[in-house]
Formats: sequence, C-alpha cells, structure tokens
Amino acid sequence: MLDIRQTMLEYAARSGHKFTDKGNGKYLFDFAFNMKDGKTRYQYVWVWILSGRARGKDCVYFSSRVATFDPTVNLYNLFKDSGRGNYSSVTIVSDTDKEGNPCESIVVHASPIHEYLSEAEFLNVLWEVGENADILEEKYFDGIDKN
Amino acid sequence: MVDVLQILTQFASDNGHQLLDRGNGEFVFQFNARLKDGTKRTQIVWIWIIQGRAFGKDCLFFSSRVGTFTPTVDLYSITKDTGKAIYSNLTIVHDTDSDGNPCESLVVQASPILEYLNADELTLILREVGQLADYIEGNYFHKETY
Repeated sequence: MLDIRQTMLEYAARSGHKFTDKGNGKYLFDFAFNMKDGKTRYQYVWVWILSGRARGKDCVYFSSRVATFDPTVNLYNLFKDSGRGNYSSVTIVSDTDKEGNPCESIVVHASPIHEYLSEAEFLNVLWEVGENADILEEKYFDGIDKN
Repeated sequence: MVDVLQILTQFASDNGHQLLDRGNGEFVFQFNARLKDGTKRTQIVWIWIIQGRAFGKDCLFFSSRVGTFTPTVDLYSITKDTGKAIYSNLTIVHDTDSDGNPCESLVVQASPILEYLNADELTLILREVGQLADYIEGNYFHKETY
C-alpha cells in the first residue's frame, strides 16, 4: 500500500512545494505554481484517508478550497469547467469562514481508492486537485489567491 | 495495460448487462438494474480512449447522459450531490437532442489514466458513472430516458 506521507514528503522536497503533517492523519500540501507572467500562485490541498468510503475500500481524500459559495456564484460555468478533471470534481460543502461562522465552500476534491494507487497516479491526482482549484479561484473569483 | 473490451465483455456477461462494440474504439455499456421495488432502470455509459488527455497520457473516458440542461435545472443541489462521487464528475457538454438539434447536456463522466487502471478499478468506475447518472436522472429529472 502506498505510503502517502512519504510520497508527499519526497515530492515536496524535490519540487519546491511545501508539505506539513498536521497530525491525526491529516496532511497539508501547499503548491507554489509558477505562472507564465513570472508570478507565483499558491494553493492548499488537504489530504487524508477516509476509511471504507468506496464500497468498503479506503480512499485517499484530496480537498482544495476554491471560495465561499454564495447565490451569485455562476454554477453553470463552474460545472462546465468541472469537465477538465480526470479524477476530481467540484462540489459544495459545509464549512466555516475565518471568523468561525458557518458557510458553504466550493471545493475541488478527489477520492481515489488507496489500494489501487501508485506513486505516479497519486501525484497526478494531487496536482490535478490543486491546479483545478487554483484555476477556478483565479477565473471566477476576480483573480484572487487566498486558498 | 488492461484489455478494455475483454473486461467490459466479462463484466456484462457476469452481471446481466449489455455491451455493444460500436467499432472505432467506442463501446456502449447498458446497465440493467432492478430496484428494491421491483421496477427496472437502465443506464447507458459510453466508453472510449482519449489519447494524451492527462499530461500526455491516454485516458479511458466514461460518459453517461443525465438530461438536457436548461436554466431551471437545480445546479446547486446537483453540485452538492456530486460530493458522493469517487472517480466521476458532473459537467455540461455540447450535444444534440433526439431530433438532431443542438443542445447542452448534463453528463456524468470520468477519465482515469489508462496505464494506471486495473480490472477492478475499471469496473468500479464504470458502475459509479452509470449509477450516479441514473440517480441524478431519477432524482432531479424524474425520468428514465438514458
């Protein structure tokens, strides 16, 4: 079975991104994407294992926040853009904002089955989740880079 | 690399579903599900290989139609429901209706990288795409068309 902590640790070390073990089996991967204009954009991806999520099989869960959902968000466009994902999808989840108030967040997430994952596939999914979340944040939320 | 046709053929045969090889690398898989209340539902999943889709790697593409998109479709509720997916996502694509007129369709799709797939994963994704599409069609469109 793939050691996801070790895989992310090594990937962060060789690629210039950041990895934090948050304890309790939760990991935070902080992508630093170099853009064509020379700027850098950042995107957090949370990673943890969800036991038994897929017909009893454990899944590696990846989740990256795009923005806070409100009724002005154009779900039609987000839905169309969701089609770019190979392993990931866009969804709305219950969340809390910075002040601790309940809110709903738009997130990109994926949850492939752990026992099937190779290192290459895992890293592919990790990258896809972070990249898609950052693209949606930039494209539909006025170019901000908060998450 | 898995033999897609062989796996689909075996899975259809073992489970009472139907597979049609359309030629040109396109397959149509028809799920035949019997619900707890005794009624039957079917769902069609199209499958083909898209070369180089994921960072140059070939993907096995699954697509199953849910319904025709109109502005009255409740995208908020459907978006929340997509959270249950493991490998698939919902999207809106350009399409043609049964009369050949242009339309937009809501589809469930998945496109795992072919070289990483094993037989169990392939059939799990196939089942997920078909079940999720049929669930959304039934729950939000109250139909059984696809």
